Amino acid sequence: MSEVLLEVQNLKTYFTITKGKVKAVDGVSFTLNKGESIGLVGESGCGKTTTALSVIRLLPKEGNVEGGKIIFEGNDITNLEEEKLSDFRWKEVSMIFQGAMNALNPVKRVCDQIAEPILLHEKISKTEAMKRVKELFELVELDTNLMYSYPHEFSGGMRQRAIIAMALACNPKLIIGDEPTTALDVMVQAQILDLINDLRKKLNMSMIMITHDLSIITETCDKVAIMYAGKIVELGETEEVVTNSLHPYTKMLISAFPNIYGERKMVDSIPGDPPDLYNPPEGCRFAQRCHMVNSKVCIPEESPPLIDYTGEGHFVACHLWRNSNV
Amino acid sequence: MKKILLFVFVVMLFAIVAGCTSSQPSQVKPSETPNGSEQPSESGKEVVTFKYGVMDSWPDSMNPYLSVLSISQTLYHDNVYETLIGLDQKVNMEGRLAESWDVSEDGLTWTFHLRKGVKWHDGEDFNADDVVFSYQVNKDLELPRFYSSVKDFVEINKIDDYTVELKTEEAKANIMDAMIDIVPEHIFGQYDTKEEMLAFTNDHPMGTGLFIFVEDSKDEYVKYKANDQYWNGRPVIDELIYVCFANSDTLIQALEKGEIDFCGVGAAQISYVESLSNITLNRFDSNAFNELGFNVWKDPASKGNPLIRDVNIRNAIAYAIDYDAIFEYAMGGLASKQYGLLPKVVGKWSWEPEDANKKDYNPETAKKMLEDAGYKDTDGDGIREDSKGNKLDFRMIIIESSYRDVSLVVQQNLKDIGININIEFMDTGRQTDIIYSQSFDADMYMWGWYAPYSDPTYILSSMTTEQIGNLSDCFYSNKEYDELFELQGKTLDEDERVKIVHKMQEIIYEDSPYIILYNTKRINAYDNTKWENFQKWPEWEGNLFNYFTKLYVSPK
Amino acid sequence: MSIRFILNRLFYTFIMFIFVVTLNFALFRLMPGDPLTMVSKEVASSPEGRATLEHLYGLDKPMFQQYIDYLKSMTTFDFGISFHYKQPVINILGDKIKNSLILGIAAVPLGIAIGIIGGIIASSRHGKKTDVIITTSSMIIYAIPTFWFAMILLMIFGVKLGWVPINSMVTPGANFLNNMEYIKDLLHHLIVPVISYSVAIFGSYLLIMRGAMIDVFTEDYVLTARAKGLKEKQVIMRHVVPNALLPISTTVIYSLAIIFTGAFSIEVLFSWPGMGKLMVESVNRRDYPIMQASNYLIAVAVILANFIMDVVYGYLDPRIRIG
Repeated sequence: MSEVLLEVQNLKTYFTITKGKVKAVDGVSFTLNKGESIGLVGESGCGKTTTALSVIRLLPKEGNVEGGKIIFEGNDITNLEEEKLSDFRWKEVSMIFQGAMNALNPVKRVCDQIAEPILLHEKISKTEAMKRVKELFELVELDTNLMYSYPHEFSGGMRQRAIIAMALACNPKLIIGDEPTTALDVMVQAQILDLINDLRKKLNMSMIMITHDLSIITETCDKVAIMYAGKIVELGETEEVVTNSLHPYTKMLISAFPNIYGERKMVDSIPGDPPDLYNPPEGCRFAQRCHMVNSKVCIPEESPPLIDYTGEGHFVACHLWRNSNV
Repeated sequence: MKKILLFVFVVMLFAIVAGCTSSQPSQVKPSETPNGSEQPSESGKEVVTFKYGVMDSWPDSMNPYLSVLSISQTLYHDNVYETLIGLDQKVNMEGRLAESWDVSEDGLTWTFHLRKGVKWHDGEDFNADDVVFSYQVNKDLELPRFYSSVKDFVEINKIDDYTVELKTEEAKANIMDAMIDIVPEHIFGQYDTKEEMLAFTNDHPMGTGLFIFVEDSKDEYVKYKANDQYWNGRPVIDELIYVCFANSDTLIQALEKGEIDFCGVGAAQISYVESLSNITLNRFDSNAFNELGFNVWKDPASKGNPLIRDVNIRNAIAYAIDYDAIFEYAMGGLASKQYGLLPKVVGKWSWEPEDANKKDYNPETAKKMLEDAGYKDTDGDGIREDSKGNKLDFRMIIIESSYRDVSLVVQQNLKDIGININIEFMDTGRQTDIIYSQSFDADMYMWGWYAPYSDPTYILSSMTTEQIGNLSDCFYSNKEYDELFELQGKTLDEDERVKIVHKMQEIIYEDSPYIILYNTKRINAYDNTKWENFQKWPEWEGNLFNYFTKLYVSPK
Repeated sequence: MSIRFILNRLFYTFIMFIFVVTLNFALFRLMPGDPLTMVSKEVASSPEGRATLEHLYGLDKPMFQQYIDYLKSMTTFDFGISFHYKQPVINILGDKIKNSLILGIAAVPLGIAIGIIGGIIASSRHGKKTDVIITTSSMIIYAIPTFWFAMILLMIFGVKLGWVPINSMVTPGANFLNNMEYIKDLLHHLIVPVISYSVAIFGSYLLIMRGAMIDVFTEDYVLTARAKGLKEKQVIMRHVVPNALLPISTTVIYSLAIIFTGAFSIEVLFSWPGMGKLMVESVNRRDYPIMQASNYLIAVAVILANFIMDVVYGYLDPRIRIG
């Protein structure tokens, strides 16, 4: 029985700059069930990190949720006050930030930093908390003798494990990972991904995985949302989206990845740049770079809605499919 | 973070407390009067305290035979010790520890009849032993302050308990030059070797003077109480405290507020102090004068420009200087004219030229003198040359902190008559080095003197050949002058002596190894609502703080 | 930290020390003028009298002998007799250092604390009105000449209102019944100097701390701390400040170490008989023993401060601990 954990409805998050507003996230909707994981994929600047920060309500001071709703476990948390948010953060939703190498305070011991949220959210003694830290270390396969070390004494991979342990400290229901393995070498990356998968299964944790690396999504995510220029252009189960991509952008993304089993040829890159979100184009935002734009079915001036044409949970926002019916 | 702050404040507190407990002034006597300047003493009367604010370097020794700075006399020796003969309010001799004195016909023996019944502050009797010791020890141990005053005495004899004889090999007229502080033999007598005396700091000075030393705190204050047994009568005030200030602005503020009763005022503060209704100002000519000195050394070792030895140039310069501009602009009005080597305040010794001979500001006369002497500007560059083409181009070294503005005025004045001056600014140490360095690598400089009130010998000696390399900074040498100097030292008839001293000043005025630029005017300020009976010394125009004021000043 | 490392550092410290000590000796004697010429005109110094003074100062000994005596005195802390005061240098320095310490320990930590706290507050409200007010006023106050500010304080509170005394450390010539009276008088005299002194110095600490804080605010672990649910105040105190203190800790320790050298301008303003005033006056008077002794003490203090800085910094920042 899958229970809905998180519902994002038509989320609009804008950044206020002197010139005006940058529409970083412009109408994003998806749902996430308990224990499910969804990947947010797209180029830099497409709005994936902003979406995640909006969920955990940690936007920088220029950013504001200007439309839509975020519903967590049935509660509308879009406009939750700051005090309640402090309880909400880390306990319900925790996050692993991009470039998380520096997410550890260099002058504090690792165990203290992991214990910190525990002591903050739960009324237990310091010794109890340290026991929990020890368990977490074991969970992420770190040597518990190193608990009292300082972050600079850890290698990159060890730090990542510690950060994951820290994110899990309060047993959150949802964990958001923003490029958690980008800075690691491939071997360690594989280990960390395995670890994440294991943990999710063990703890029945939901996850939002943000990355631009499709291969990670295929390994860890049940669902995937392809984002472009602040909007979701395709959303569905990972295998489905990857093997039967509907949106031209998705197709080009996938072909941009070299296939280790495929022919040895130069991959196609996608010519052009994403649009300026300060002044996004009216209508379809991908039209400028789309090779299908000249098809008779396409209406570039109209923004295509995200619709599940097949009825099987595979959403696409593209005019090419508007005539298909279930 | 809070821990750091707490730690810091606790340390602060500890430091203050620790500092206090170990740092109190030399004596804290719980039985004496509590703090404050006017509190009832044990007998119930109010204690009258006079506070004198002073801004100067701190004294260099409490031992009157080792110190050389005048501030040491002001803060210590003048209050505690006395000489055999002093000066009255007309700057004439008056007996202090000596009731009377006489000199033999040949001028070789001075006999002093000491005052009887005078006691040292510790109760011991003052007598001839103390006088003999004082003179003898300065001569034997060659002590810095008074050696030159006593070296002429070949015999120092005690005739009886109250009679002392000083003998010289040549007639000595300037006995006032030999007035030294008399110290208690029963204290100083223990230090009979040079090493011991040099090490004796005399931390609790004890003399026969009108004030008794109570306590001091270096660079802060010195405190005295009146000597009830003083032979000339007890001072009216009960306590005298010298308070040391490091800057003149707070000095004036303290005067205004009443934290001190008397102080000196500088040019910058005159207008402010004049606006205070409770403060009275007293302007007076002082014994300090400042001169433009020339390198007139005739020795070939001198690196000075030989042209400066032409007296015509020097006298032309005397006419070229705008003295009034110096008084007003450079000195802020705190200066007055002085012609001869001795300032007016020393009374009869001071000489002034006839009006016709006064070299006052007259650039035309200056130019004419140079033209007549053969210095013309032949190449039109504004600087005169002699017949051989040597330019009138001179180097002037200047102590910047004292004479900067004055030197710029002089430089401009001389430029106007065709003499070019290159100024090099420096501090006192460097100027001393240059002048006394065996090569005197400069042509002109500025410096100043304090003329002793008691006797002209000191100032006059600065122009003798004998003092070249010691007191003489211009290296002047004139046989006639040297002979007159010898003569005045032996002329017992005062009127005769005055004539000789005048003649000497006239010679200097004609030769101009110095051109006296100005006499420094000083200003006293005191609170007129609290005090009266100040005495001027000298009585025609002088300092309000002196021996007589100390005796007679009283609260209103 | 290994023994070898410590010994190695001590060795180089020793070399530096000898060098500084010798320079100390030579520099002052290279200055033009000597103590005798400073006083040569004050009194009728006969050549014999001059010679006696020279003997008193030890200047009649050959230079090499003077150097040996000097080295000896530095090690035994017997710094000889001051040329000017004719008292043992230790007594004079002891007094002045104590006076400077009293003023410094009251004022410098206060100024540092105001600066650091102000920097924390300003950076926490970076860009907002509070920040602008604090930063601008700190810069203005820092630019105001200390003596002008102090004079105004004295004029208002000393002269017009009569609440505070004008100068010095304690009321001159006063008799105190007991220590409490003395301390009260001292504190009374301390008020304006301490205010002037700490106001004069807090500006730079504030601006440095504020800058360091702003840098740290951009770090990822600060964002993580917020994500953990810490309230902003906790984030600042637990995560930002400990890191921002690192760059400023060396300055603070150095400033504290040289408190005993006094502050010349403050001391001259308030006629506070401290080390700053003494050192400047001694240079003018060419009082070699005092100049040498004070320079020596400063060198010792700085070397010690360096060592303490290393240790403290290692405590604050675990990244630089060696071994």
